[in-house]
Amino acid sequence: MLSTQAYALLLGYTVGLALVLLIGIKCMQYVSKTARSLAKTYENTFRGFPLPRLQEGLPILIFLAANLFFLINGTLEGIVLRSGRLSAINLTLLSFGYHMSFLSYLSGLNMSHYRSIHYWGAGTMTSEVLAHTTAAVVQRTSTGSEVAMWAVCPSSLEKGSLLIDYRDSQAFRS
Amino acid sequence: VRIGQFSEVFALSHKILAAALIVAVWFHAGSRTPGSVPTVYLLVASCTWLITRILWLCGVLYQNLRFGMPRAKIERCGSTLKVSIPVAWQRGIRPGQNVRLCTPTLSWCSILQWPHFAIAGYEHNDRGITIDFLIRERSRFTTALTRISHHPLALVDGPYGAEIPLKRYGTILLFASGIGIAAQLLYVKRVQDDYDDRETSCRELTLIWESDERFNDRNLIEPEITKFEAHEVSRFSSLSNSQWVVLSVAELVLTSH
Repeated sequence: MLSTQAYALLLGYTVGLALVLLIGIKCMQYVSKTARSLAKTYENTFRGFPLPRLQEGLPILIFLAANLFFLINGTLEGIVLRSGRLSAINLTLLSFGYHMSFLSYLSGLNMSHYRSIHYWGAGTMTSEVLAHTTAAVVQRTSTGSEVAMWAVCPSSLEKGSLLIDYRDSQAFRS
Repeated sequence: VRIGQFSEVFALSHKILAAALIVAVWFHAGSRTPGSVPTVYLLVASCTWLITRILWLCGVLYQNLRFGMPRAKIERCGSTLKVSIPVAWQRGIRPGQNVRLCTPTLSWCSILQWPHFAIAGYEHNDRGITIDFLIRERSRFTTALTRISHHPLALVDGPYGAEIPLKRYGTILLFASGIGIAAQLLYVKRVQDDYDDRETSCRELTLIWESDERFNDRNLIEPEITKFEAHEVSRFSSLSNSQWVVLSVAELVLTSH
């Protein structure tokens, strides 16, 4: 009785484990294939903003997570303040992109890694400026305060600067 | 591609907009005392920009003016120029690298123009290195360069860029079209130098260069190809897009000493 139960358990575990492994491998293959396909679609759509490579991915993920954590942690009024401050802090990171080739030579960083950090920093800053503008407009509209039109100026300049950079990167690719 | 001709305008606009952004955020900020948030971050960004600019300028001036004013020697053939500039560089040059070239006396705004050019060759001398560029006349900067009769003052910034390692390949095929040959010449030189130092697996290198007869620059570029040892150059002509195109194939077979 005991030996047949042991056999049943062994068979069950072996078949179960094999099935889990096979399904797992199949899922991994599917996820990897989908990720590759998504990455290809992304790169074809946003040619100016290349996806980070594996070694760049982790620092960028930490950077994005930190920004997101400090941004959404609080009330709407807090979001208005924090998104503005975070975008100003990220501006200091972007200021290291002035002479990219020179600084990448001095620091010993790979040029494509350096460029990727600059692009993702700029993308994050743009999102925060957008969040800052939207949250400020929503907050002021709900409280009946006036929205100063000139305050849109920094936001527009930021988008313009990013757009020029996108066009510029297209030019260098051609 | 047309947009490529305006790459410097785009780069400059990007920098001007970034500076305008800092000014606009400063006006937008509630408090403008230097220690307050976000003014302190704007100050840090501005200082970083300024320090980078000063460091870059010091580096360029030190590299170029260490032994006096560097003058470019320009040799012309058809619509292609061979520009040689002596620089006081201590660091070595690797294939695939490029430099930014500026000739301040070319026009009133040429101090702002720093286009990239691939290094086509170099020679060591007692004061540093003389680097050679092959430049084809296209528009504005390169057209102005072809009209110069004297030896203009020339500043170079670099070298920048990474090398593609070729040491582990036994047979190497290099392709180039038109003035793109300039970027391949240093690879041929590197393979030959590595072979002489017994540091490469390469035994055979073939360089295929397609040149357009309209530019009439073969007399300038072919000596650069044929100066390598153990070469054999064969040419094929064909009609492509109503223009005669010459295909030069230079085979470099490396043999034991």
